[in-house]
Amino acid sequence: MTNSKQEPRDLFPGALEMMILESLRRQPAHGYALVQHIQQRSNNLLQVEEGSLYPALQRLLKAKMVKAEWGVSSTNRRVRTYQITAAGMKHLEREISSFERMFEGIALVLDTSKAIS
Amino acid sequence: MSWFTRLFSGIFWRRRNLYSDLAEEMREHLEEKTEQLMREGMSREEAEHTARRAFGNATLVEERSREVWQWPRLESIWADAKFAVRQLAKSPAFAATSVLTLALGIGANTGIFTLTHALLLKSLPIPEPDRLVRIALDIDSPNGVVSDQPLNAFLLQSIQRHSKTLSGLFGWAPYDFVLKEDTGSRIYSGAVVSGNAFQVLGLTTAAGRLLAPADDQRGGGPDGWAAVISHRFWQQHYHSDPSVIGKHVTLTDHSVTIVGVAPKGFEGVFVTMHPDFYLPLEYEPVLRGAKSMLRQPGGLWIMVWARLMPGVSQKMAAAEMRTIYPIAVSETLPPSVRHLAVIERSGFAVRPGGKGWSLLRPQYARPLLLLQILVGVVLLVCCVNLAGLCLARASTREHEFAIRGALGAARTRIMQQLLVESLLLALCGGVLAILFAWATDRYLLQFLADREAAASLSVRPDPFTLLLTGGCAVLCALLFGLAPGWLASHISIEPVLRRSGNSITAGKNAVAQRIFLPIQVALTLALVVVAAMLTATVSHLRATHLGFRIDNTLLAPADFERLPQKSLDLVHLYRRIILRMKQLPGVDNASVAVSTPLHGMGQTGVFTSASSSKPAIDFTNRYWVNDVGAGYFATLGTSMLAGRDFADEDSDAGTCILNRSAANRIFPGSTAIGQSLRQTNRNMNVGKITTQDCQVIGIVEDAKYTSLREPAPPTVYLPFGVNTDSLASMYFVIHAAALVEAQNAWQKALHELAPGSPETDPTSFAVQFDDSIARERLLSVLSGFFAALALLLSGIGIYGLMASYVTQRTTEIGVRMALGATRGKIFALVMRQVAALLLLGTVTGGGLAVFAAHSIKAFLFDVSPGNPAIFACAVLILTFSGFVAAMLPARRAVSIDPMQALRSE
Repeated sequence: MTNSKQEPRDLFPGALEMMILESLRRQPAHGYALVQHIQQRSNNLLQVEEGSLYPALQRLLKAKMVKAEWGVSSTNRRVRTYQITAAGMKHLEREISSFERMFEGIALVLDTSKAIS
Repeated sequence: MSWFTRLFSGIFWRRRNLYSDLAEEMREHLEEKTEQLMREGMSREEAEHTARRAFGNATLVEERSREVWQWPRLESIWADAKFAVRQLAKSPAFAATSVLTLALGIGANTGIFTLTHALLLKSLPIPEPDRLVRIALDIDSPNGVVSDQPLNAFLLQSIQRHSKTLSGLFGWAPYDFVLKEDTGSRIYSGAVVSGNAFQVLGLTTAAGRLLAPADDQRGGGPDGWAAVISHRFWQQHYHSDPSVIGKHVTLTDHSVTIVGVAPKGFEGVFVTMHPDFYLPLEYEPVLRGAKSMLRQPGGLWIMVWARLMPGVSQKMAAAEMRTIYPIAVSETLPPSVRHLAVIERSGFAVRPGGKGWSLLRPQYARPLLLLQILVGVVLLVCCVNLAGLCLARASTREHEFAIRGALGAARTRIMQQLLVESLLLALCGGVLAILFAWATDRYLLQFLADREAAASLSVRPDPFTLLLTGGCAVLCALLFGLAPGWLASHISIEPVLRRSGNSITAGKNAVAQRIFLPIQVALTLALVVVAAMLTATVSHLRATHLGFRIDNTLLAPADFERLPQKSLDLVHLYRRIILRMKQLPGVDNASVAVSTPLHGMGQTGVFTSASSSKPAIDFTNRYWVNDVGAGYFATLGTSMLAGRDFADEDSDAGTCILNRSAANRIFPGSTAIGQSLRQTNRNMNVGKITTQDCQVIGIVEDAKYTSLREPAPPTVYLPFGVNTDSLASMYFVIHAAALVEAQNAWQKALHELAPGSPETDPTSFAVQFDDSIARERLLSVLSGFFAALALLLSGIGIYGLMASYVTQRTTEIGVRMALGATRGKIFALVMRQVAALLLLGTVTGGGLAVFAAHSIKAFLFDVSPGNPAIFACAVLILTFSGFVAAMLPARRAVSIDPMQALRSE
């Protein structure tokens, strides 16, 4: 890539949901904490527009992969905490394995093209 | 509260909760982020700003999150609809104009389509209508092909014997019956049909049984003469009483047994008729006695229908019919007739039968198609007009759209909202349109010359036409809503918001608006030209030289079939009635004739000079024949050119009168008076040729007979009574000071001298004349109405465009005035704009109109499609109405006060 500056990239569909589920598997969290967590874990490589988290959360809620509860956070703030459900766990595992296979495939293709050039 | 409302309120309650949770959650998120940033050292304001930026378009995010729960878009559309109602309520003038425009545009389409559907497109209510075919005779005469002629019983049986592609054949002939009851006699329409007709059609009875082949036998079947009645007649006449089955009624002087009721909604196979009685074909000889056609191989009177065998196409059946035709002809006709050129060249045609048949079809199919195209253009004008109006409205709402965009509304969302508004207007228009169409169809049906057809064509809106209307409305909404919607959603937010009040520069909208106007003008011009040509056609037809007068003349059909008097006695009765009528007040002349002009029916005969040796049977020797009484020419105002009229005595037999062109053709270069004329008759049943000579005693001026469009045919007038075929059903022709007097005289004379005969409906000659140009009048009136509508819409369009032009340029006009422009100059500035648009529209419209005029050539009479006067008139009318429409905005421009205009900037 000739561009030295890292452009923020669009995620592929379902990636955000996967990261949310993965974060929630480690521990239940509310929206803001999830954003912080994803950004930290990706070493700030992934710039998630904070707002886009919410439609994704709603989708997961609708699919019953997470459940939400209002509570009070450690900083004494009213927060809505999300928790992964059993269905969410199952979905995540399936997604991760398929993602890994896809990633492997992409990596192989990219390697070969490098080898040719 | 019903379980239904409970369920719904439950859903909505849950949903509201969801939404408030979401909003709160997002608020908390922003708060937390802000606090975090403040802890890192930002000021509160700066932190809030950064938090928002990191979050993205909050409105959009909230909307997207909500959409997860929604039935896709439904809720947002519902919200848009509510908002649209509020918006439209705020500008009732705009809403009313658009709804009315659409109602007229869509209504015209629905109205014409309902007629088209009823007459041309509706299938018979039978199973598998696609497999029903109609077998007709196409006669190839030297005057052109006469298609769709009926067959007879012999041909029907012959086809039945030889065909391997048809699974059932049946004949059908319309016939009127007189039902005699205690309350009196009344005529009901009906049909005589083959015994298997209902079976082949695949109908099931509503009560009792339908006709069977066993009923169709000489002398009647097991139940005597079996009759099936229509479901309507059963309901209205017998109140759906099942005990009516087996009842004996007197139908045209003979006792018949009602054996069953036809299924509901079945109106026979002739779409413009509504029979109440169905009897077997074999009943025809009983009705007509000696005049029966059932056992005559030469007559043509039965329409034949059939079902295709499974797997057989119409083409295959047609091919088979070509081979069967010569066999059928040789089986049924005597050798001397069989080899006539006209018979050898004719043949059977196989046509789709599933939609029934009507004589009105060939007459009205093309006019209806033309009208359908015209209303389509009108609808297009409506849409273009509304698109212009909506654009103008969208440009005044620019600010609103910019604010919505600034608050985070997506482009598609703004577009959707405008489309919902258009759809709302279109649907309101559609509902009104159905009412409008229903009302106009009643009016339109009066133009049909056939009164029974007018009464039997159902023009009530049915699901099919409702669907079409709905489709029309949605299409309109898309047509006129798309452009404003697209423009509104692509507003650049910042400049609009920064700008306040009126701007000096006109936006994209004005340009778009200006594209629409010339389109509208062009379409309108084409419509005006078409309407002018069709109207000119009617006035030319009215102005043709007829050879007779039509005012204050009554045509009264006689129905003397059941009087005891026959032949010569009947002739004397006619003479007595005529004499009596002449004595009655107001009547100045009266006579009788077998056929009356412009009735659409007439007879022809083969005539030659008795001294000529040329072969007689030939189409070139065929002339119109009319049997008339003395005084016929005087009554109709046809002038006698030479010789004398009939004397109304028995000595009239053996004399005849010719019209001028017949005299010139039969006796070229010599005086016809006193010469001998020979009539040659060929009996098609037995093939015998007979001749009859008569002396020419008079010459009359030419008069039109069949159609106003054709020149007056050469005609031979014979004294009535010599030929007794139609003696019982002649027409009285009465000329009086007023029509009422003619009618009174006829009724009085009839009651005095022929008290037992049924009363018939007399027609005024003026009505018969109008009926003969019914199609032309229909086209002229409707196209005139459509053109006027388009003109009005164009006027509104021009007014709207100029008004918004002046509003947008108020400042500019103020500046110009301040710099010394006179009022005249400002006026000219506005008018120049209109002139440019009109010019553009007229040039494109001119081309369109030339094309349109050439495509309607077949409908015109004495009007050339390139008639410059009509084009000039149309352009003049359009230009005039355009300038009148622009007058108001131009006056407003002139009265702008420069000081105020400049201050408001």
